[in-house]
Amino acid sequence: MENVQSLENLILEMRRGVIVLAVLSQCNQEQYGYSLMKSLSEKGLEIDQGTLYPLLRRLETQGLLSSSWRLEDARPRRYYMISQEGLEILPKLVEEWESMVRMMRHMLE
Amino acid sequence: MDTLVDRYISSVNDILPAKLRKDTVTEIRSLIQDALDDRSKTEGRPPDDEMMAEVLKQFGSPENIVAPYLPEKYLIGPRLFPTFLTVIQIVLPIIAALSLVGFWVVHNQAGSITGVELITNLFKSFGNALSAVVQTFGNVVLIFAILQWVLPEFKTKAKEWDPHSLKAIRQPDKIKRGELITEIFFSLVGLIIFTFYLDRVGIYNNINGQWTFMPILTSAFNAYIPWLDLFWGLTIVLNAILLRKGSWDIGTRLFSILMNAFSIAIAASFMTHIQYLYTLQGALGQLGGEGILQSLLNQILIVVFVIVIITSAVRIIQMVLKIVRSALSSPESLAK
Repeated sequence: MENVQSLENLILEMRRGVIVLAVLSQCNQEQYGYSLMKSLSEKGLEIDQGTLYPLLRRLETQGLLSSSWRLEDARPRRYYMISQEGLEILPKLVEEWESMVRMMRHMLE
Repeated sequence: MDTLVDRYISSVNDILPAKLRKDTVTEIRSLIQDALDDRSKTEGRPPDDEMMAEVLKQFGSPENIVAPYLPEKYLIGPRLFPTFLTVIQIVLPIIAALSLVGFWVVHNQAGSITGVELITNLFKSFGNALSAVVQTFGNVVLIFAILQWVLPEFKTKAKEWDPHSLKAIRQPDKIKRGELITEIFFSLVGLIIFTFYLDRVGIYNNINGQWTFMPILTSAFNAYIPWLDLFWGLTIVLNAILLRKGSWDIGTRLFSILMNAFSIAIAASFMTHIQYLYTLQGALGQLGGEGILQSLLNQILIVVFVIVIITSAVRIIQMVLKIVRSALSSPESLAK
């Protein structure tokens, strides 16, 4: 039981590292929180609300995302989109990710 | 009637700081609404209490959903905490010792006390010390909390770090030879003077080219001689053992704890009987005023004895901590 728990924690820790890249990659068009979570989930990455929404805020504070409120069906929704700075950083992150995958593959062979 | 979502949002509203409230609450409400809409579409029925409860359960308690939005706040942050611990470790034992000594100085001046009074005073003195320690702890926490508040950007030094600035590894068991030899020397001097030349301890005056001598120690002081001799003798023995062994071990540390306790007992006794142990009668010749001088000197001596008591108490605590630490880090305890 304890081993299962620690395995889950280890997996969670590994996934945490790729969430930023995943979110930035999905924000090249405007997304509101829930739609982004669904889009990530459809592609196989399940993130709970408690992780995703504060992360969006953080990325916005760091200048990698920009956000705007819009009124839809009499309900305000906050839309996020990758910023100019985010667009400059994303290819570098992708490059780094690919190099890490190559390195890990080589290491685990 | 308010729905479960309304109640949830109201709780979130209560937890959030005013600065973040409006924006975050609107966002969380919008997120919950999106989740509800999605579920309603999937299940083909309008949202009801049960559906709201399921969605809210996924979001977690209001405290849970709000936590990641809040900036990390500390009363005393991780950067200040090690300094706080060091200050506490130094200040609290000193305050406890000062409070105990202060209590006994005040309560012993009343003269002889009965056994019941002694026990009552014992409890009172510990109560006083505990209250002083708690109060000091609170004050230190307050000071550090203010520092934390005033210096939120308390950062490590920005200048380039040099590995050569690393401190040498402390060797807690290593002895300080110079200190031990000095202690042996002064103990020997004390031992010789107070054993063989006690009658020559006094005030020497040169009046008109003529040397005069006046003893100052009273006969009450004689009762202390065997104890002082024993103290200095044991100090010489302990230091000689340490010089021979080259390092501290549990035996010498226990020995040192006893010696420090002995030193506290002698200093406390001196302090409470100071007015009987020496006299300056006639020391100032025609000038007079020995009474004022002696009372002034008594106050100074009491401060000196208080310092001796505090230093010895701190040494005892240090020795105990070192024994505990070495027991905890011994290979036997690590193997357990």
